[in-house]
Formats: sequence, structure tokens, C-alpha cells
Amino acid sequence: MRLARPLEKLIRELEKLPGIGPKSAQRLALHILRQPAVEVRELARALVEAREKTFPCSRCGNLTEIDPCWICTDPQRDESIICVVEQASDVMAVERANYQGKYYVLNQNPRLMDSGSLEELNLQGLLNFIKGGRVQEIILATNPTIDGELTARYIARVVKSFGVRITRLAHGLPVGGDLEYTDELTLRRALEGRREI
Amino acid sequence: MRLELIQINNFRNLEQVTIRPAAGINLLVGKNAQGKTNFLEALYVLAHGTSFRTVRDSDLVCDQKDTYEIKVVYQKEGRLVQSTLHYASTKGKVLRINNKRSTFSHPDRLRMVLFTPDDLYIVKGSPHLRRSFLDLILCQVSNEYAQYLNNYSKILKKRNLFLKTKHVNQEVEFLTRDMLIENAVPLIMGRINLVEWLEKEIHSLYRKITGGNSKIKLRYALSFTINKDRASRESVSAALRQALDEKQESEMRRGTTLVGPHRDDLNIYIDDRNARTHASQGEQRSLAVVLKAAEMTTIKNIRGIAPIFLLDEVMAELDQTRRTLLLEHLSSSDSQSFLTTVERDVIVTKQAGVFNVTNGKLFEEA
Repeated sequence: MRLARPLEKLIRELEKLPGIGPKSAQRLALHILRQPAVEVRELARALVEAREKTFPCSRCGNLTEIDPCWICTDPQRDESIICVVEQASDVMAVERANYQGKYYVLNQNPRLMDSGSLEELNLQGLLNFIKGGRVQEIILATNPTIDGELTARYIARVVKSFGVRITRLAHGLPVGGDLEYTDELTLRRALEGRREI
Repeated sequence: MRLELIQINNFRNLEQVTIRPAAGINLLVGKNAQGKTNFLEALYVLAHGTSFRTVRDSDLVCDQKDTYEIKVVYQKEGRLVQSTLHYASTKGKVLRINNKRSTFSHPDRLRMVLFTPDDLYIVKGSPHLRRSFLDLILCQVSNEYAQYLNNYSKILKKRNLFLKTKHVNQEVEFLTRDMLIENAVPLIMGRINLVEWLEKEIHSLYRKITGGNSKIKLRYALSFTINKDRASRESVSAALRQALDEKQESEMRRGTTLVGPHRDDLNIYIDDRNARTHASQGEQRSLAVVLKAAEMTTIKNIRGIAPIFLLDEVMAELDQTRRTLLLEHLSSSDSQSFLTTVERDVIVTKQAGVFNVTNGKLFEEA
């Protein structure tokens, strides 16, 4: 079947988005067509604006519209702790946990991990933070995967000589989880990391 | 663990099967290509989620149908458990245990040990078959082992990639080596322990099933040398580190990791000769059966619950005396077993369920 050209183009563009298949793309496109023109223009503007006005912060690498970003300049936040994460999306996750320190986002290229050239990891910004002299602790919050573990260990080695405290996120039980159905490895890690109450 | 009721619908050529198996031995008698192995396969798929013959679920469905269902009721520690696997070509597989959607790692899931004629290669085939024999048992008894195994193969792949690209930073090389060793040690310790467990069983089992008095020894063969007599976590870790140090140059040259659990082997000795090279065909066959029987007892000893034993065409592998001895062993053990066989006359035991398999239908023999 031949679709109206503009509609076909819209569907094709939507299909390129992650997690959107041909069917979802079609549904979204038809939904957009049913919206009032004002709303659609709003959506289009939001797309373009978000793309053009956000960029990685020059200090911490988090996505921002002002440089340095609001987390870096917030005087309320604890400057002595830096949480190192892989992606900007991880910042959002840690933020939800009500963390009050600063961040450093690696924004690493996944290909870096397969070529083994971890020395290309952009750590200059992190070292600048540390050289600033206020940092006392670095939390390595990379993902609990092989790549994440390797990255964390590499950073720990690089940072070690500066004499700051380096910590890694604990592995443990999900809150509200069922002990009976927890896998052995997580449970063992949780046992190792148990705390006195 | 004992199956009480088995219902199979549209699985391969088994359009509709309902049987109540006996508590001990169950025989599936039938000519070639009637559905004996399909029956075992259905039970195996229900327990493990995957088949031992194919990786595609669509292969398992009856011709011109698009769903299959396998349903069993079994007894576990005095409780009745119902387990159902439903497959639809549009929706995939759904496992339900006691009518609740579940996964194949559920603690109440079925556990099975399968023997197929291909298992002969555990004895005479290449080392990776013996390694995966050990790994499969260990993964069944410990999820932790499965995790380490998974991590190890990922790190190994990465390290080999690094070794191939050659211009990898020394620091990174050291870090991957550390992680490799950390994950290798639990694998090696687990396998050494398992081999000890198996050996304890296999010695008497071999005599019992073959009637002979050959001495069977199992040795876990490391791919590197270790100075201590008893392997401990520390000594294995130190020895592996040293071996990796020594091999560094040739590893760089060949672009692959040369020592570690992925290069180890399980040596099987019969009267102090290596069974892979020195045992006769008949001895190798009996050894393969005995290894599986030892797997059964070992899982029972570790987990406290006897799995169900599936034996495909085992009778064809053994001579008349050994058949009789094997059946005696199976009927004296407290686990339930399912055997397929072409010849009816080979087997007569009390309390055995006998099912004739003809063209995808099962008839119980009175």
C-alpha cells in the first residue's frame, strides 16, 4: 500500500528510534496526525531545542544547558564526594536515590572496552577535581558487569596515588525482595557486605 | 523426585500422550522412529527449557500445529508439584509451576540427568566435552558456579581480544589477568571437588554395573603445574598467576590465553591406563553410562533430592550381562528412570512400567 509521502517519511524517522518497531512507529505517527497543530509544533520544537541546547558539562560530563552545569555550581552539594558513573542516564538514577555529592560522567565509547585502550578513557576532568584539593572520596558507580568492573579497577589504579578514599557500590539484595529467590552470588556478596545494626 | 502423571500434547510426533509412570523403572519399547526419544526430549525440555537435539522451539511442534504443551505432576519431598510448559509460536514458552508463571531456575523445578548415545564422547572425545560434562553438573547444583563460569568466559573472550590487538596498555592487561584469575579459581576448585565426589561413586558403580573389578580413577588435570599436593584457593591462584606470567610471551605471540580452566581436562583411568586412548569400545561405553549414573548419585548427595534419570538407547550400548546389572542397579536405587529400548525381551524386572511406543502413541502393557 502507498501511504501519503509525508506520513511515510514520519514513520520512517520514528522507526529509527531505539525500541520503536514498524508498528509502534505507525501508531505514533497516526497519533501525531490527530493532535492539534499547536501541540505538534511544540513537540517538534522540544526535539530540536533539546538536541541543540544540551551538551556535556565541561567539568563533570553530565548533560546540561549551562556550563558548568547546575550540579557542579550548586553550593549546597557536598564537594568532597564524587560519584563516577558511565552515562548521563546513570546520573538520573543516582539522583533519584537522593545522593548529595558531585558527579563525574565518563561518557565512554563502548568500543573503548573492546579495543582494550582504557588509557583513552577521559579522566582528565576527574583528575582536575581531585587536584582541586577538596575531594575526599570517590565512589565508583560503574555497572556491575565485566566492562564496568574493569573500568572501575582501572580508575582506582589511576586515582590511587592521590590518596583519596576510593569506594565501589555494594552488591546486595533488592529492597522488598524475597530472600528465598535471590541468586547465590548476590546473596553471598550481600553476606560479605553485611552490617551491624 | 518422582513423576506421577505425564501429559504431552502436540510435541513432535506425540499428539496426545497421557501416562502414569511407575515409581522405579519405566521402559519405552518400540521400533525405530516411533517417538521414544521424543518422549524423553519432552521431559527434558520441561525441566531445562531447551532441547538436547535442537535449538529452535518451532522444531518441537507437531506438524501443522502451532502450540505444544507438556504437563507433569511430580512428588518432591512429600509434596505434589504441577509443572506445565506451554509453547505457542506467537508467544514463545511459558512455564508454570503450581499454576504460577515461573522460570527454569525455580527451586521446585524438575531435575533430570540424561544419557544419550552421544555421551560416549565424554570418554573418548575431546577435552571440552569432559569439561562441559563437569560444568553442566556444577551449574545444576550451584547458580554461583554458573555465574563464575559466565563471567570467566566473558573475561577470557576480552583478554584474548586484547592479546590479539597487541598494543594493549600493560595496566589493562594486568587488570584483566587479575579478574581472570579471580573467576578461574572458583571454577577449578568446584571441578576438583566434583571430581572427588564422582570418583567416590564411580568406583563401586563401575563394579556394580559391569560385574568386573577394574579400578576406575578420575583425575582433574590442570593446564598448569601446581607444587602443592592439595589444591587450595590460594595455591591454585598463585600457580595460575605464575603460569600466566611464564606464558606471557607465547600468549602474546599466539594471541590467546594458554592456561586456565578452559584448557583443563578430566582424565579417566581404567586400571591405571587412560580410558580415552586405552579402553576398548565396550569399556568406553560402560564408562559413559557409569559416569552418568555417578552424576545421578552425586546430584542426589549434594542436593538431597534424587533427579529423574532419562536413558536413551542405553541398552544398545551394553551386552546382556551389563544390561541386567544396570537394570538391577536402577531398580535398587530410589530414583525414577525412563529407558528407551528397541528389544522388549532384554528386560524383565518387577515393578517396572512398560510402555509400547507406536507411531507417537503410548500403550501401557498390563
